[in-house]
Amino acid sequence: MKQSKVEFFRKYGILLVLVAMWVILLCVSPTFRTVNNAVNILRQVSVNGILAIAMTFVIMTGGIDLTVGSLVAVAGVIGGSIIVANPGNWILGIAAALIVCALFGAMNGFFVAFLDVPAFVATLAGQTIARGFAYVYSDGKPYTMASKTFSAIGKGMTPIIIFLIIFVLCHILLSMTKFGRYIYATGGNSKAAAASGIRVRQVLMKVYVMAGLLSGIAGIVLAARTNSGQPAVGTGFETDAIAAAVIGGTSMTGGIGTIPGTLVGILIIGTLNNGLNLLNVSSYWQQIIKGIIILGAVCFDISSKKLSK
Amino acid sequence: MEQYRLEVKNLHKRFPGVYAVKGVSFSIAPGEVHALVGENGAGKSTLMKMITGEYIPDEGEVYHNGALVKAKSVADSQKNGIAMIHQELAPLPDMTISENIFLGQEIMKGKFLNHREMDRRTAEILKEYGMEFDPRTKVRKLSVAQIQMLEIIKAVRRNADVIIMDEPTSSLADEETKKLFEIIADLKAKQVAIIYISHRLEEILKITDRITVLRDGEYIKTVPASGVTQGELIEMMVGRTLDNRYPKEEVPVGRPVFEVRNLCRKGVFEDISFTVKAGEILGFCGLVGAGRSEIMNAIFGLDKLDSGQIFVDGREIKVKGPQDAIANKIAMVSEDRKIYGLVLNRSIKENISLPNLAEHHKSLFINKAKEVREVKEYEAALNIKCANIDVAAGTLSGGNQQKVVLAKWLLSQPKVLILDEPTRGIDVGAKFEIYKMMGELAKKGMAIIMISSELPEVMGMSDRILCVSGGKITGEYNRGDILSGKVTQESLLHSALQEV
Amino acid sequence: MKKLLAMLMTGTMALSMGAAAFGEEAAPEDLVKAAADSEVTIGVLMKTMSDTYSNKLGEAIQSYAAENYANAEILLMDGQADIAKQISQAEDLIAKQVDVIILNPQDADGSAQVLDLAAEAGIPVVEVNTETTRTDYVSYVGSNDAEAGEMMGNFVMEQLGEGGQYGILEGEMGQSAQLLRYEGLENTILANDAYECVATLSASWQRDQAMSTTEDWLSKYPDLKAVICENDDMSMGALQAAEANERELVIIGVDGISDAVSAVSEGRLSASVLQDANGQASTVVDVAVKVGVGEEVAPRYKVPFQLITAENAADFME
Repeated sequence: MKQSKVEFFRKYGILLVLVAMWVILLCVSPTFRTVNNAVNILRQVSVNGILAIAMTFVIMTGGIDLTVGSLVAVAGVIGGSIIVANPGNWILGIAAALIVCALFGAMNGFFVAFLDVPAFVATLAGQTIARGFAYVYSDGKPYTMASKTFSAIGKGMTPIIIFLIIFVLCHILLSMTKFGRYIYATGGNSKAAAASGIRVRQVLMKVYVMAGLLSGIAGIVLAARTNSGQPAVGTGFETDAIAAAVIGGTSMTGGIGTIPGTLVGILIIGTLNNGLNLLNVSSYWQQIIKGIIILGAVCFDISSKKLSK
Repeated sequence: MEQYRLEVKNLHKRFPGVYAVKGVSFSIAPGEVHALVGENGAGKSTLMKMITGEYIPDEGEVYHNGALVKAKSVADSQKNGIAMIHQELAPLPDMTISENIFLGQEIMKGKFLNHREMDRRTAEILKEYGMEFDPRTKVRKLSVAQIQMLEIIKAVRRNADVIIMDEPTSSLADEETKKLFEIIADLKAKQVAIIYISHRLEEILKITDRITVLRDGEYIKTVPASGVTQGELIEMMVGRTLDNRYPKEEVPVGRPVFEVRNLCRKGVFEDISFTVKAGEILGFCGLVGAGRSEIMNAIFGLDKLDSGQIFVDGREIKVKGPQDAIANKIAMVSEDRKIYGLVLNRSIKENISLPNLAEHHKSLFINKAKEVREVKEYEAALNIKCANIDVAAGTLSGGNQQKVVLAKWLLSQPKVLILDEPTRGIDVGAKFEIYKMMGELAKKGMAIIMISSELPEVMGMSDRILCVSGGKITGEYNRGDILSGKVTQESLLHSALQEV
Repeated sequence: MKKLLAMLMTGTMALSMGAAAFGEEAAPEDLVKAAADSEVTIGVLMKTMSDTYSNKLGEAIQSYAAENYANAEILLMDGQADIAKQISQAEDLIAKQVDVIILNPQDADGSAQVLDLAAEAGIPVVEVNTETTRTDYVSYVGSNDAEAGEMMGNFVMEQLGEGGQYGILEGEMGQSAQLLRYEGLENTILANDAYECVATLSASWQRDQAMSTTEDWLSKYPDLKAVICENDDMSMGALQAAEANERELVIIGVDGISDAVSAVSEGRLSASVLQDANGQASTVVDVAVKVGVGEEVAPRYKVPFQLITAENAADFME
């Protein structure tokens, strides 16, 4: 194969998978052709997309964050409780939710960065602690919110706009700032990064706090979308986030990955969910097909990268 | 016609942007030790990877004992009897010596492993190779040389009749090297063919039968080792004559730039004091483990100091971590570039600018144009060979990787440059370039500290030499004394071996 | 007076024994309560305390017991929707030697193991809300979920009149509530050709999943008239989707959770079928106490469902 072609596949392999999925769905499903459906997909991926971006940062440092799903619930119940008690003060509700989630992120960061606890273990513990916190705080009951202003966050184009703003900001952060470079270096080789004068522990700490904060934002969007803050919501969300990051080319060993890659990853997952619903594929089969397509997408990506070897 | 153990015919391999091997042919007879020399990037590694099946050649054939081999993986070639002892060794560190040796061919007793029998046989084998070890020792506890020996033992036990050794002596002490040569002689007697890759021309001339020279991926010549000199080999390798191996420039030494007083790290080194002046190259010699690298790591903030003072330009500085050393214009090219030097999966550009981002880009954002300009400047100055500055540092040859490490520190425009084994495992051409670079930096008034295990290098390049033994400075020698012949390799060795 | 009570109790014991022998369903009203000062330790294995209905049921069990049986001790365990957790909690309760276990099964098959464990230890088990596939429990207090499905099917047919398209949002596949509620739909609306079921998908009882799936349907089926949901979290999700898309749909769910009831009273949600948590809770506690003090009970108590519509919603507001 010609050099330029090989390079093209290496760089855009996974995007081709997404485009191929779109082409197939455009052919077989009339609904898929509607603008409204495209908006639906974007709105549906907005929550998981924000989580996937958070996950990308963490995986890029060579870690993992299993707390993101639980923090979605934490944000929902904290925000929910304040807004239920005082519907006018939705800003306070959001602020409190984000602060608490950032604190949970800081807890993860503290154990990973300063006590060298493996990220998997630290955030697994964080996951159950945060989930438990959501139950204890809410006494297991959902908060149903009446604030129209707050629920507007989850309606129409708003979740999409929030997601896209976060996407752009995070992309800029990772690709254009010094901090982004430090994240890549820390994940690629933390010892070499430290020997280059980078305060690796601080970088890790900031990344986990950021992941907590982003999870909080995702939780607020979801709470606004469903008009309720539920302690049980978000279970298993971390798996979609990890899948999106990995499909998008983030290396589990750290140091490699991009935010646009993760966007493609989450769009593949979102398109898949939406497409299978539109095609009325049964709930049993959906799970199998999802697994196969995720595996296939990643295999295609890996083999297109090998071509250039 | 005599049958060769291994014969390669017209091998070609292209990578995106690089034509790595351009039609190389050579052959090795049974019982021959065949050296492969060439600068880094000459195509030696790629050639070997094609022989061991890690890469598939674009063109050409490999014959093993007269039969065409089409190895598709390292496992294939191992089965055929071709074994490679890597420069970076890959044993299983938490398994015992005997488990490593019998890996994949375990002796069983019914359904269970027969540890006792394997340990007994391992003990016999170790004795045969002159290693006195408990077979149940964890491999983690062995030295690099011992691990290398273990790898050779494994290869021989698999009945390999072609053994490729990639820089086998680069991390061996003299005694261990001697042992290795004995083993090579032994393998030779057993009609094993050995491909010997090394930058150390002296030892190549000593132990090999024939030498094949590669340059820029091309086959240059195969010569018998008995009829060639080091100078002629170097000429063939670099394609030009190098009149002087150590291009030391005499630079007037200026005011003191860097000083340490009474540095101590308990159990590692103590009472270390020395001064380096502008334009001076201070050499450190001593055995591996004597404390040389440990002193430098502590100065640079990678390890903790228990006590002592550090001065730059007469002002005392506190170093809590590398960031403090860097802020005070100290730079260090570490001994192990893959661990402390480079982020291998990131680009050349990112590696070079990494320690300089804080200083050179004051805002939150990176000024991309400025970054590319700076990196390109140093890429050109150091003559780094790469397709472009966006390729991953890990894809470069050893010499070019080392140049990237140098570039990243030179960009920081240090006052004090610490070089820990700056030329380890890199080829003559690149070595020469690094020596010249050191001279130029000294001329600009930089204070340079160089640690090296190669005595000729220390003696050739230093204005002053400190010997370290047992964590203490045991001798100091001036260039004048070296030039006049008053101080010889023997006297340095004597200091380095001095019991403290 | 005491004698009279004793006689009465013997009488009911004989009666309930008779009922057990015939395996008939008894109504909660027929139950004669054990003495209010009965000393009994009751272990309660809830499948979860975090979906709205289970939470309500668990809380009602605790509060009803506290108000009516001063000397009864309730040990309530939250299975967190995890079958393995529920089984280990059962082991804990057995180790604590409770007198009787109230089991709210996480899984129709998996939770049957609890019956084996309890049988070994000689501890009687009363099941509530959901049944295991085995029948060697002492008594079951619950509502027949098929009835809820039938109520929903009939309600939607009535609302749509002539006919029309509808979708079904199912719960976690394979759970008895899902299987039985669907069976109820099969008996009614699915059996009627005038109404077209365009899609059946699981939203795993979850509000957010129900919302996404309904959004997908709304763009695909412009003529969709109704969404039948197997619980109220999903009906609230479907309602959010419909309101966001400004579509008028007939939406009905099961459970009568509080925000669903208020949505019904505001006329946004069409209806909810109430599985009577308080009724189930009080009945199961009464049954468990009786079993705990060694009195006989009927093998099944059926707590009826109620249909909540805009007319009667006020009665169900808390």
